[in-house]
Amino acid sequence: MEQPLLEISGLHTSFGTYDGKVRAVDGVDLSVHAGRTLCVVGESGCGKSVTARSILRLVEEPGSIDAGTITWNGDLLEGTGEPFDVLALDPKDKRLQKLRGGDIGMIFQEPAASLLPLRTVGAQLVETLRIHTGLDKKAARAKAIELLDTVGIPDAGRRVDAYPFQLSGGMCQRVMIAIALCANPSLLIADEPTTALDVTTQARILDLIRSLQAEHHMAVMFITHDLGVVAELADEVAVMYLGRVVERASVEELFADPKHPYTKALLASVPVLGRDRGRDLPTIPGAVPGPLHRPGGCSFHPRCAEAIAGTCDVEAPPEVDFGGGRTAECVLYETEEART
Amino acid sequence: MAATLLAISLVVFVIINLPPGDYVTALQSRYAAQGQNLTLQDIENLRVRYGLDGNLLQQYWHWFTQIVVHGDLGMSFEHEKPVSQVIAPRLGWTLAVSVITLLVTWALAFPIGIYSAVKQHSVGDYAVTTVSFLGLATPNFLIALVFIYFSVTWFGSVPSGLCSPEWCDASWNLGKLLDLLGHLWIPMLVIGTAGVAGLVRIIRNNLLDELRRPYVTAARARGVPEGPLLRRYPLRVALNPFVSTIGWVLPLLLVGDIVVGQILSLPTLGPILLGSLKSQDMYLAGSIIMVLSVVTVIGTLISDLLLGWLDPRIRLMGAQGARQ
Repeated sequence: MEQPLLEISGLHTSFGTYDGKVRAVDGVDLSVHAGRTLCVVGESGCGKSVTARSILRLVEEPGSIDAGTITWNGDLLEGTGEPFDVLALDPKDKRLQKLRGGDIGMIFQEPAASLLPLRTVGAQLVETLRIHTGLDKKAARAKAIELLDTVGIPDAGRRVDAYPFQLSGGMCQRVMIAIALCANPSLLIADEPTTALDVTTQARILDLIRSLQAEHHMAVMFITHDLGVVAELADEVAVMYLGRVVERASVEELFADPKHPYTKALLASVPVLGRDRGRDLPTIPGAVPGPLHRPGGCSFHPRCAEAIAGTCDVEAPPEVDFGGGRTAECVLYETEEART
Repeated sequence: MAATLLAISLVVFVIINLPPGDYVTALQSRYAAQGQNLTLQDIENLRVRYGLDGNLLQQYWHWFTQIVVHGDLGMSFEHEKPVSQVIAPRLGWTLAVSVITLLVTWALAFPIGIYSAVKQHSVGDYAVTTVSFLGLATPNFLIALVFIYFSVTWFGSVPSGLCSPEWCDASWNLGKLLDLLGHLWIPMLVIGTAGVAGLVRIIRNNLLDELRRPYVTAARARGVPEGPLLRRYPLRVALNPFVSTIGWVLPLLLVGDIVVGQILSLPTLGPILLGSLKSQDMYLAGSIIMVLSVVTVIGTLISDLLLGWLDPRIRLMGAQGARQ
């Protein structure tokens, strides 16, 4: 397979709390390929957002990235430089600054809170443009208006001087996307960008991301808990549970033939119009255990319908590789690996 | 605003007159202490002379109209001068001491507060926090007393006033200025400790709240360097609560610290206010409190205007609210 744009390997990120160390991300391997869309799905607290934030080293105190490498091959693919490990960079390294907002654009869950209410959206857009492109004030403003227009903000010439609180949540997210696009990034990290928006706005923002991706040939890493969004956007999917990736597959394979019992249960609990009339929606029994009380063995075994007593609660499950980037972390397929 | 001031003037006047007796009774007891007795006729004459013979409402009306119509603050009984003449010479000194103290306080508190927030949980932060809690918890007058104690035991002199006797009446020259600076640092330090300590806490807490906001992470994610990030984002928001304190800083500037002023015998308004309240010199006390109230109201107005200028949410949402 070709060289991925971004390669996360063995990432461990934890948060020190009064009750002990919470391992939010516990050994995650992911790769994002140029121009493709990777969706990371999982319940709240499974570590998907922390993974995304670790990429740009945005994890704040009391959190810390303990181990792993995050290799950025963007410069290599463009022929401008060598691959480097983001986590090994000095915080003052120019490459880290170029990565943040330059090579990688990022948008967040709460668009309105992600913009400073005291400055106009134009000012914040122009600031980012000038950091990464070196345009002068006037040119940056013209470019800002053009970008706002690109992301579908009507009357961009006037809206550029609006304050974030004068815009709707959807509009703010469009502004955030415009800021993320400032320097033609090769990767857009979207951390649940539509969760706080209503359904119509959500669909429009997804359309926007998709068309911009095609236009700019960007890779997208999309963090979500919404399987509908996954089906609509993803090329590849990574399913996360309690800080680990439990299954990796292309989107078609995942929906057609889920391997991991957790994925199966997730898909079964999506309501289907017509099918579910008059019966209860299947749910996954139990709740996500607190990350401080991680079960021994496979962390999903207490909720798993197919758990094998004496195995799943004792041994950590192996990662089974089905080939073609398809993996599942489950003991049920251990023998299959031997076969293939 | 006018209504607020009217209400304040009424309350001020009533409170000043609440304790039993008036200036004449205070005078009477002073004479009695000196072994002289005033006749009933004397007392009656004094009451008429000072306009204390009417009922409270009449007195209030008299006082109020004099201020509004003639700009006349009345006579100070105790000093036997017009109130304005008692206040005026001290106002300059009070302002000088307070403004310098305030500027030094800000100059110290801002960097310390910001450092303490950005480096939260560092050794420096803990040191600052400890010292500022000590500064906050120690009353100013105690610090002043400690100062006096040490300067008496070490230097054999009491640091009082703002100038040495030989310079006080001299005209302004370099010598007097140096002498003033030599005295000024004491009240500055005494009044400043609590001010710096309080302000450091305010700035630290405001900034800590803001540093955790999503917009800080978002700005970092788009490559804004740390220095400009701090200045342009959280610090601007953290400034707002600070600006809104200007309203009550202004009157403090005028009156100075009353107790410290008394202990260090500073030529500020504070000790005068205390004295006038003790001797029920009601026009003087009333005037000082009224001046303070006016300044407070003006200070609040200024900080509101500043907030509106700093924060578009207040400026623009207020206008929207008015339209609805």
